Amino acid sequence: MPKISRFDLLRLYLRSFFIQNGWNYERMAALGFAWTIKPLTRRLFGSVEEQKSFLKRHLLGFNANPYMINYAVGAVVKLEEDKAPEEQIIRFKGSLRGPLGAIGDRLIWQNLRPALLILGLILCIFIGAVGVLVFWLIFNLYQAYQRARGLAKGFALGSELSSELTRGYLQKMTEWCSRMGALLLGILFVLKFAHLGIEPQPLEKIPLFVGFSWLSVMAFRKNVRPNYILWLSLSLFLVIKAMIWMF
Amino acid sequence: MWERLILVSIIGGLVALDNTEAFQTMFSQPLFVGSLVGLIFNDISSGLKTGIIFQLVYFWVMPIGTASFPEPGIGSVVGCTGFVILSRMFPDQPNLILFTLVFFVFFFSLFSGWTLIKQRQFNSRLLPKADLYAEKVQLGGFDSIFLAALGGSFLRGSLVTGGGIFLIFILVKPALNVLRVVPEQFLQNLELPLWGVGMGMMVYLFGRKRNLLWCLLGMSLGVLLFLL
Repeated sequence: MPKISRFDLLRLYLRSFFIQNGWNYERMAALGFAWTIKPLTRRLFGSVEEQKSFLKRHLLGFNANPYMINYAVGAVVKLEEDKAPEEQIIRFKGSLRGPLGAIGDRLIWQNLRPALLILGLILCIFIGAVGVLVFWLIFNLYQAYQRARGLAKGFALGSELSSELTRGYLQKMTEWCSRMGALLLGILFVLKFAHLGIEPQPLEKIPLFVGFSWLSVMAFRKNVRPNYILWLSLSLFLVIKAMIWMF
Repeated sequence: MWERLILVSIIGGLVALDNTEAFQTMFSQPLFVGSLVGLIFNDISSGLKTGIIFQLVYFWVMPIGTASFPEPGIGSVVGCTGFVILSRMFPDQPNLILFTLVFFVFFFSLFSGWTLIKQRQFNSRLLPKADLYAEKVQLGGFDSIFLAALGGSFLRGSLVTGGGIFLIFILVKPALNVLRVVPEQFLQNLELPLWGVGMGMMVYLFGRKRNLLWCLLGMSLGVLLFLL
């Protein structure tokens, strides 16, 4: 007889939006994780000893990408419902830490967020501030879906979750976001270029835009720290301006 | 004016929450924050323009795990507010204001990132209490810890933002009075090196050989969109 209802999963889902709350350097997202699954304590365990060890094992150090962490929440809750041994749950949770962090960081931080930000910038050029709203809505529709999918898949698969993580969806999504980012980057570059072309002084603006973009690309590829790139660009800009001013 | 500044401080608190603690809806991105600040001060175009610039400058920031990073969200709230207010005081020198604010926000974002580290160290102090509540199976105790962490983060964001706006008045404004001697034309096209920094990061992320076709397709679409 399953003890965890759909309503419980909905509660977990809503609480998962706060899972990073209380993040600290000692146990990272453990406080948030324990708070998220706390409502299940009395539902799953009758004796005080069992409840105590349930809470304690979920206060052990844990971390993952916040948008992917629901895979861990769902799978761990399933193991708890199935009364899996404590060592197995701790080991399983620990094994999810690396993959969920790496996959999530690559998908969200390195591909989806920048791609949607480029979309936002393009839309801002065309339709002004409403473009920002479009960026925000698309991102949040995806994050709401991803969190729900993570919880549902985690709960359905339990300890078999690795099949979901290594199978196509997340990798394909990352790949598509990367392609979308490249496509949008092409559009943004041309639009900015053309925009500068129709403004006054295009012969000064276009070389500055292309030159500084090229310089930054080279610097990023050489792993120069972004702060240095900013300072370098600003200093070079002042030097160029001073030279134009003098001659 | 005061009501607006208080509202901006509250937004700073929400940005701090959104950045690392709760929801993570990207509300804390400079692009969004800039428009919001512009809306509060009835000057969306200035807010959006500054938001875009800070977004480009801080495109590289990713709040991942234990890494220490600047907090451009709060920095942008302060920077965009500063731009909107100062451009009313110095209407002929938007480039000089932007230039000064880019410097200011750079250091301020680092400071804000440092306060985030302190916030996380404060959160570590909540762990022994959590252990105690787990030992006693006192479930309500977890809610008090949750509220302390959430409230602490909101308060940090609000106070840092309020402090930043205060610094705009006591540091940046006097600095602008001194720097007014710099001709505005000298700083014309300042946004171009900043666009360059943003474009550099974008190319770094997406400019891979296997994406070349997509990038070319995007460029063709860009030409089409421009002609339309």
